[in-house]
Amino acid sequence: MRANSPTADLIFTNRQTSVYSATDEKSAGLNSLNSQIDRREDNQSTSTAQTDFKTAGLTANDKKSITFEIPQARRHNPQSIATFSPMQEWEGYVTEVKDETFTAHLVDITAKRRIAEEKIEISISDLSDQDKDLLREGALFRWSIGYYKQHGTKMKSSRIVFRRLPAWTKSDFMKAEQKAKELIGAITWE
Amino acid sequence: MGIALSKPALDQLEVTLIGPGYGECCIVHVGSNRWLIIDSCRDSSGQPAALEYLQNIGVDAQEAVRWIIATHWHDDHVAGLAEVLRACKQARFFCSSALSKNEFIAIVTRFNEKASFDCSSGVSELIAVLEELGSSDRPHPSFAGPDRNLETIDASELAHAEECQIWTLSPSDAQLHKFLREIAGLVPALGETSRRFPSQPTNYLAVVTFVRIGSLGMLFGADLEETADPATGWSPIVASPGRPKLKSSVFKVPHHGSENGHSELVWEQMLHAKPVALTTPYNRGRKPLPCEEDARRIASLSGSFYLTSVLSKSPKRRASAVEKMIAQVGRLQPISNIPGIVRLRNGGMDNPNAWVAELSSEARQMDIPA
Repeated sequence: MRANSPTADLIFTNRQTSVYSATDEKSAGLNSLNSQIDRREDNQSTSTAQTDFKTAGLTANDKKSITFEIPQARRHNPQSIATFSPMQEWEGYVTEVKDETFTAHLVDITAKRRIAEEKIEISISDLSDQDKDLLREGALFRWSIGYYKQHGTKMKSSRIVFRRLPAWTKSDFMKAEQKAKELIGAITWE
Repeated sequence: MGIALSKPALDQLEVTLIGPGYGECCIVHVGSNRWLIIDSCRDSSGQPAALEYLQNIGVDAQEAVRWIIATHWHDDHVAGLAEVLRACKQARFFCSSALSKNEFIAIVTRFNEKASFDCSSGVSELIAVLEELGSSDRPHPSFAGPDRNLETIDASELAHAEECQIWTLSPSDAQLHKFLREIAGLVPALGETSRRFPSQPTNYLAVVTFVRIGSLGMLFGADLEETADPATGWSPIVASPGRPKLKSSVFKVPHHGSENGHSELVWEQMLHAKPVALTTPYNRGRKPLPCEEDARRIASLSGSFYLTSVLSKSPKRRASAVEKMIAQVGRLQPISNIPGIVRLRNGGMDNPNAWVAELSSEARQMDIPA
C-alpha cells in the first residue's frame, strides 16, 4: 500500500465512508464515496477525511479490506458522479429512544466543536430501515446538510446516517479484563 | 454584578457552586484555607472549573484542597475530576463503594476499549480517576456512605474557632445494590455493536454531604432523587437515627431542582425555615431543569434561591438554507456550556449566619412568588 500517495488517501476516505450504513438508496455508499473523492480532488477535504478516519475508531487493519474498491470508483465517468458539498455537519449520539422519536445530542463538527452544544428530537420515520436497526441509546450518527450535484442538477440534501461501529470481540474483553485487574489491584481503599 | 477575585478571610465560610447548564461543581471553604471540592465540571475553556476558580481567587489548590467527594458517576458531575485529583495530591478522596466493585469497573473498561467518540460519556474520565487513585503519592481513597463522619477538625485548628465536621449521608446498601443490578443490564455482549456508554437513568448512588461548622449546617444534595422505595432516595436519610440532627441553613438543592429530587421531609426536618438554596440547571434531558414549577416551589420554600445559569432558549444562528433544512427534521435546542457561578460567603466569626451572595453574569436569584 502506498501510504503517502493520493490513492492511499482515497482508500482511507473510502473506508471511512463504508462505516456508515447505506441510507435511502443502494448506491448511497458509492455516491458518498464519489462525493468524497470529488472533494478530495478539489483539494478541499483531505484533512477532514483523515480526521474522520481517526474519530471513526478505525485501525490500520481496516485499510486492507477495502483496497479493491478503488478501481470500482475509478470506473465511473466523472460527469455522472454525484458530489455532495456539506454546509453543516454534526456528529450525534442517541440519548433516548421513544416509540416514534429519538432524542440526540449533537456536536457541531463544522464549527470544530468537541462537546455537544445542541440537542434535537427526530422522528424515527425519517430514518432508513437499515439505520432503524442501529437505533439505540448510545448509537452514533452523522447528520449532514448540503447540496448534491449530479448531471448539472443541484439538490438540497439532509442525511442522517448511523455509524456501524465495530463489535466487541473476545480480544476487547480480555484487554478490558486485564485493565480492570490492574486498576483494582493498584488501589488500596481505606 | 460579579464575583470578586479575592480569597475569603480565614474565619469566613464560603460555598461556591459552578454550573454551566451541563455539569456542576461545588467548592466549600471550611475555614483557615481548607477547602472541600464536591464533583467536577469544566469551564468554557475546558479547564476543571474548581481549579480555575481557586487559581483565580489566589488559592493554591495543591496545598489548600483537603477533601474531594465524587457524588456519582454521571458525566455531568465528573468532567475533569482526574485533573482535579492530580492537582490536589494531598486531598483525601471519597466516593461510593461502587467504584471499588469489580462488576462496575469491568463494564467501564469494556466500554473504554471501544471508546470511539470524542464526546465524553464519563468512561475515560473514570478510568483516569482510577489510575490516579492507584498512584502511590496520594492518600488512600475512602468510601462515602450513610451517617459517615469523614473528618472532624478541632476548633483550635480553625480561625473561626468552631469545630468542623464533614459527613456523608448516603448511599445506603440498598441504593448500591440497586445500582449494581441496574448497570448489570448495560454489560456489552460479545459480538454486540459498540456504542457510547449509556447514561444510567437513576441516581441511586448520589452521595449527600453534610458540613457542620459549630452550630451552622450546610447540606449538599448532589443528584439524589426521592423514590417510592423507603430504603432508597431521601427517605432513609431523613429517617436515619445516626445522622447529625443539626438543621442546615444552606442547601444545595438536589438534582437541579427537579420534582424527583424534592422531599418535603428534607425541608421540614433537615433544613432551617427559609434556608439559602442554590442549584445548577440541567439542559440535556427531556426538559430543562429546574422547570418553572420547580423554581416556584424552591423559591417559596427558601429565603433566597440562586441558580448558577439561566438557560438560553435561542438556537445558534446559521445560514437560512441550513436552518430551513434543520426545521424539516426538528427543532434544535441549545445546550449551554458557559459556567455560571453563585458564591455565598458568611460574615466570619462575628456574624456566621449572615450569608452574602455574589453572582456571575450568567447566574440569577430566582424571584419569590407573591
